[in-house]
Amino acid sequence: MTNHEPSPSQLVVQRIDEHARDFFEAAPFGYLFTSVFGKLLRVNHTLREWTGYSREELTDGCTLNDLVSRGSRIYFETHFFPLLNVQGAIEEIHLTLLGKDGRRIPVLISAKQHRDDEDRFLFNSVVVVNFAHRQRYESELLEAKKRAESSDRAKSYFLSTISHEVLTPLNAIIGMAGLLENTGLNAQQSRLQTILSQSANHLLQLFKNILVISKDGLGNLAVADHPFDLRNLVAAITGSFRYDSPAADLQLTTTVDDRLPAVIISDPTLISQLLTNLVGNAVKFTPAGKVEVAVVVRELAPDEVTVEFSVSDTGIGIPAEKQDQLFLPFTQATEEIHSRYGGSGLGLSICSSILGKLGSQMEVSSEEGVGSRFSFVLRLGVSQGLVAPPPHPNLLPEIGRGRVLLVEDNETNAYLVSRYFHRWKLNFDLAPNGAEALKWMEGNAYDLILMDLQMPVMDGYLAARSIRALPGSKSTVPIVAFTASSSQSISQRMRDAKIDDFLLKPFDPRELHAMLLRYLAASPTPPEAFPPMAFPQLREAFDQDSKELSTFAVVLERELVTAGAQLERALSAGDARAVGDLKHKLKTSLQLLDAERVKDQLGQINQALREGRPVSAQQKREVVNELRALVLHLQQEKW
Amino acid sequence: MMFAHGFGCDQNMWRYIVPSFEKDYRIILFDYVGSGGATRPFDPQRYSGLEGYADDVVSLIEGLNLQDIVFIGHSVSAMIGVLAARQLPGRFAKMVMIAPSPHYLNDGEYAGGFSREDIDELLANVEQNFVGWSAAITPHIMANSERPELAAELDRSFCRMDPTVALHFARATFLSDNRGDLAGHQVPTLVLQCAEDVIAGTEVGRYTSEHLQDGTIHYLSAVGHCPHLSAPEETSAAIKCFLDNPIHD
Repeated sequence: MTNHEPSPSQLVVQRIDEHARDFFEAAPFGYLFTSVFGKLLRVNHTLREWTGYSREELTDGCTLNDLVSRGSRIYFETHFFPLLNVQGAIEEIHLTLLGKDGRRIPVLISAKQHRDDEDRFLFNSVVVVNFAHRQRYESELLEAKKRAESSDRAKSYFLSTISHEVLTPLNAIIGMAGLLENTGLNAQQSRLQTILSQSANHLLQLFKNILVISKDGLGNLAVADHPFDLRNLVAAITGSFRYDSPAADLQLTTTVDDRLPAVIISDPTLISQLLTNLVGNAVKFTPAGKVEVAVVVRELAPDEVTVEFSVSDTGIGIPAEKQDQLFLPFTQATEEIHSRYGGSGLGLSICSSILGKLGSQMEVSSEEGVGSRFSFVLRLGVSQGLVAPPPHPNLLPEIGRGRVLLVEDNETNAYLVSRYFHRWKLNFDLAPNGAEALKWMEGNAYDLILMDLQMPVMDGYLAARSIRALPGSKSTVPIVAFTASSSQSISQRMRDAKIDDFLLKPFDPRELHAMLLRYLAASPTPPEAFPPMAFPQLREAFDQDSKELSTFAVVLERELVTAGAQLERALSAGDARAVGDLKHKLKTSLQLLDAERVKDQLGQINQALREGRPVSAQQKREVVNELRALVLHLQQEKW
Repeated sequence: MMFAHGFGCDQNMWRYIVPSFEKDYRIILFDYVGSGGATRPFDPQRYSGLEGYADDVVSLIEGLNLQDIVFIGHSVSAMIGVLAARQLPGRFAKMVMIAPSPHYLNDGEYAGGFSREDIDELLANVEQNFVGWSAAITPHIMANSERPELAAELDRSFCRMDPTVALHFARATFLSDNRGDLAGHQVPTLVLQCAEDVIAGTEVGRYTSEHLQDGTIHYLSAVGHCPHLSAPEETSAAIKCFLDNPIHD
């Protein structure tokens, strides 16, 4: 600043003021002032030129709102105006002005309220930016953005749809492979079975990774708190990679700290996903040498243990400059990696997201050509007496209580679940869709409903809602959904249908078992229709001879099916005599089958018909259903 | 006393009239999903119509176990209030509808005020306003160095709307037709009608009050669509008069 220059003369000040007014009038922006109700007080030349109105037309009672197109008025009144009043100023609201000749002028409007010293409103100053030339670019960009987003949505939708399609057969493969294990295999067959089982599990792991990524990130992922045996989990994971390496001389070792408590409380699924990804990478990128998995206890408190998990290898290593890209999804260190080793580039990105959820992070040290070490530290709960679930599905204990309605259209899955149900000595009925399930509900009391969500005729959501609308205690039966969806948490849709819980397909028999225990423990009602060892009289009559029994069961079954059809006809005709005949004909069989309920029901209906009393539709349905249940039970009984 | 904001703003819009009622009433303010500070996850299916928003109001009422509710609904919230009241008969004592409209589209004899094209233009406006890159070209006349608190307030940004939700909410609001729901609404209700309201005109306000079972209408001298912002004293006085008098006419 120069101190010697004299202050500007009066004339200079005056001329500058005049020129400032010219600036105001001819600025590249529309300038205007409005009163409290939006009346235009002063409008600059630029805006008059854009709109085609004269100064008089605009300042004679016209409001800013009058210049705005009808569609824009809504936004003006619902957003622009409230916002201006609440915060005193507003920036860059996009509106459309309407010129005198009907021309539409897209503009950005900024405005500010002016108040006096006592905070009384004086006027608004408004800046209008003509946006016409920019809008074309914006529209094009917006269009492009929308196209990109919709294609992204379509891909997500495709992934989630295909997940259902893939997970169902995968479920069957894993389940059947598990069942195969128990069929007295020789050593060679057993080895083949192991590979089958583990490869299917790896495929499942890959799918789980893809599904997590295809969702909106991990935001919805809930971390579980389950007791489990971490030692077993680590052993199972490393064990599953035994046959994975193409290199015969790869050494895969596992070291687990002796101080590790027997039962840990955390999320076994997530920890398993972490280790599977890391060990999988190590094995893949180590052509020869060793991979070492180590679990080291860092701190041990009575109720908490801090554990470091590490996976070290003597593999190809990662170049230093590529290490910061390791955790980006769909990114691999080099193009060459993909062509030589394959892979989706998802594993580490998933790991890092999962660790974020668990409040931890991945540590990496790696040297090209020497090897890599990935590690992370987790704080895990320690169980004081809770027992971890048994390590192997085949060792799961019998449940032997409660009655379950399984609603599943997929025959393979239904078969698989029912195999486990049989093994666990669980009474159940099978319905192929929601509508059939409702029929079963009419005549029977269940302790739990296990239901697929995607079914023909009536899907699981609608079925659940219909069940919740049933009268009496039937509406409160716990419902567990079977879902092949990629979601890790209960969805709003499930919640709306009042579904209590869910199991992901392909299901882990241990999770199914735990779920059954959870819901059947609370209500240890003895099964009404069938005692644990069903049909004792029949078994007695045939001296427990299973061959004789299964032959005779077929005879009984046919008799009951025929009788069922006849009964339905007789009931709908109200034919007392036919019902009486049937009752008589079935007497011995029902006696043998301990089917007291059917006998009583038949007796009551027969009595009523003979006395000319009406028989309710409900009563008729019940007896027919009961008979059907008996047939099904006969078919499914192991003799 | 439960205040429900309309499309385009959030609970801050009640700041000038709430003080008049704080002494005598328990005040419940909230933001709809995607508006203001609401963090509730948005489910497009649930919120495809006004019912989803009404369900949220019902959850609030049940969660807070509110009884004898005075429901003040601005704009679209008037109809959301009608839908919520239908689900909870007996819980609402009185209702005030500020600038309500049961249907914004013209339909034969009924003059809602807008055509389908107008609504499409609104939706385009809403969408354009969420395109972030327009910011660079406006001269920063608003930058207010002598009042830094104002700048901070702008940063906090009231009436914030989540872009996806805003579009859905706009669609649910301006394409809904709740004319059929008015007749079943039994709660004593006051319609506050502004002068020169381009969103919900005088005819629409009159239609609303006439089709309600127990509706009265009060004409405000305030201009526009948000009298609680432009004329808070007049608006509060009209609400008070309705609440204090057992029979309002």
